[in-house]
Formats: sequence, structure tokens, C-alpha cells
Amino acid sequence: MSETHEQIDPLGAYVKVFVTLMVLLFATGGAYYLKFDEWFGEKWGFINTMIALIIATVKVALVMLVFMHLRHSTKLTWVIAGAGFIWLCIMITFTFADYLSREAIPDNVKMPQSASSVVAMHEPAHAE
Amino acid sequence: MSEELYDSNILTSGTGAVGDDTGPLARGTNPHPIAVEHDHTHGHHGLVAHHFSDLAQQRESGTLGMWIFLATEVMFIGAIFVAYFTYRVRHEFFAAFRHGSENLLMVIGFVNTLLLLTSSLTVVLAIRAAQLGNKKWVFRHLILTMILGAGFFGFKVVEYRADYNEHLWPAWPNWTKDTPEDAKYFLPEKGPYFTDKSLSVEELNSRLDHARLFYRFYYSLTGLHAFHMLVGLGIFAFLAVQAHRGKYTPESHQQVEICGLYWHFVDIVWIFLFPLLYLVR
Repeated sequence: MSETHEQIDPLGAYVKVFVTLMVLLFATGGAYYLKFDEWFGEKWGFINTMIALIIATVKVALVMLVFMHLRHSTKLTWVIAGAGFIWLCIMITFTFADYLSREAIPDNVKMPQSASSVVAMHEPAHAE
Repeated sequence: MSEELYDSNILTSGTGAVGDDTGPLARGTNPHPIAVEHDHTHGHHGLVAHHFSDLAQQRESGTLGMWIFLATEVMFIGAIFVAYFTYRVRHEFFAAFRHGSENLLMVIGFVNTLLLLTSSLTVVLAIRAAQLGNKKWVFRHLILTMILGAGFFGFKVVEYRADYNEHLWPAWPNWTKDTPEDAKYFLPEKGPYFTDKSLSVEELNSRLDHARLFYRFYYSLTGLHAFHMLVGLGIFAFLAVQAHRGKYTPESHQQVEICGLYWHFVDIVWIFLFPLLYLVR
């Protein structure tokens, strides 16, 4: 980037990205009709979500890099753009580290379910 | 604007006369401070506000400011996305989310994605036209962007209306077997999941309650997005007026660039919203 003039992208670059975005949009719509849950059983249904999210991420990356001119931007701009993303990742990781691990706790360390055992647990130690 | 600030400094903090060392420009290289007013011929001097050292620094500061704002927006909308996922990963909610999603008008969601992606293209073309000094096309591309954005908004209104008429309004009470036909009730009718005749009342209510949460996410996420669209349309109306006056030149079009960043961000939010709300499987 020169001192006073910013980078001017060729028209073709924008058109190429736009066509790619359109193709990916139709791919998203088409992927909905891949019925992984019906074909291979319900537990494979997550593949649909994964495909949709991966396509969305690619689309967003294209928009950010080319349309939002991130590829010509300074490192400082990259840091700020990355900061939003990284903090979002931290929020997702910590939240799901909790929610997704609740079922994984073995039964013997779980809170007892019946009311009497809950009361027993909260009694002072000398009562034993 | 920058020149006005510059000039008012001269008027308020010094006499500006030659040899007067109290004025802000007295130690500068220009021996005739008042002449700065007519300094348009010397490069980009008039375009740079007095607190920036050059045009590149000014441009980067503006862009960076918008990126910082967008980072806060990511946290704002990201939190709702995370809340959505914490429910969606749970088995009983997922089934209701999936069948609730089937009741939304996927075609409108698809067309709206198409409109928004196209509007992102017209925004960058407006910036490019400004970079090349093509003032007429800056204006035209901004107007095109607004038309596409307004089209999105129009479809959104049609869609909300249709949803409302289809009893997809989570504030209404659940449908039961005794609900009269003309009463206001909440029931996603498409697909047998919520209308299965063999369901007990408790089971039906539980399914509808789970689906209700999906529609709450649907309305809050798309509503928030639609609000951002409205703000964006207002900003672009302002830009179009400025462009019509021929304000955006190859040296000075930062407003288009920065507001374009905002517009692309709204587009990005929708890119994630579309599969997460309309294409749940």
C-alpha cells in the first residue's frame, strides 16, 4: 500500500468472490436435502449442521478478506478482527465445556436424586 | 470540515499576523498562516483532520474504529448464538427446533440471503467506483444497495406476517384439543410432530413449549438483524445523498468504506442465521 493511495482491487476479483458466494449459497440449500439422519440413523444428523456451518464460515471468510478489504488491511486491523473471533471462541468453549460434559459425569459422583439422600448429604459431618 | 477547525484555531488563539508567535501556526513553515485557507492545491492537505499526520493514518484510524465496534457486535450477537446452541444440542429441544424450523418459510430465507450477498457486492463496487473517481456510479451502486436492502426488509415483513397467520407466535397459549378454531393459539402445523393425534396432552404441551423457545430465538435473532438492516438503510440513504452531491473522490471516500464494513457485518450475521434457523436438520 502506498502512502496515500489504497489498493484498488480488479473488478474480476469481486465478481469471482460473488460467484463463489452464490455457489456456496446453493450448496447450503442443497445440503439441507442430504438426509444423514434418515439414511444413517439419528446420531449422524450432526453432519448436516457441520456442513452448513463450514460453508457459512467459508462464505464469511470470503466476505471479510475480499469485500471488507481485510487482505489489504494493516496487522492492527487483523488483531481487532481476530479479537472478536477469539473471544467468541472462548465463550463457546467454556459454555460447552460445561453443558456437554454434564452427561459425562459418572453416576457415583453425581448429586443423589432422592430428597432423603440430599438431606443426608447436607447434614453436618459429626452426625455420621 | 477540517479546514474550518483549522481556521477557527487561528481566529481564537492568535492574531495570525506575520511575526506573531502566539498563533498555532507561527512556528510552522508557512510565513502567512491565513493563506492556509487556500491550500487546496498542496496535495491532500485539506482532507486530513488536524489530529492526523497524513491521509493513510487517518484512513486506518477510521477503519480500525469500525472494526472495534464490529468486534463488540460479534460479542453481542454471538452470545445469543451460544444460547441458541446450548438448547439445540439437547435432544428434546433439537427435535422441536428441527420441526419448528420446517414451519418457517425457507424460500424467503434463501431469497433474502441472495439479496444480501448481492448487496454486499454493490457496496464494494460503490467503493471501487469512488476509488476510480466515477462519481455517477458511486451513487448508482449505493442506490442499488438500498434497493436490495429494502427488498430484504420487504420480504422480512411479508414473512413475519405469514408466520403470524400460521400461529407461529410464541406469546400465544399452546394449542389444545379444545381450542376453538378462531382463538389465538400457538401451533406449528406443518409436519406431524406437533399435531400427532396419538399424543397425550402433556406430551403435546412439552413439545410445543420446546418449539416456543425456537421461535423466541427466531424472532429475537431475525428481529435484531432486521433492526441492524434498518440502521444500515438509514446510513446508506445519507451516503447516497452525499454521493449525489459528488462528495466521494478517490482521495476522500472513507465514509463509504467504513459504512460498507458495517453493511458487510450485517450480511455476515445473516449468513450464519440462515442455516441455523431455516435449515435445521
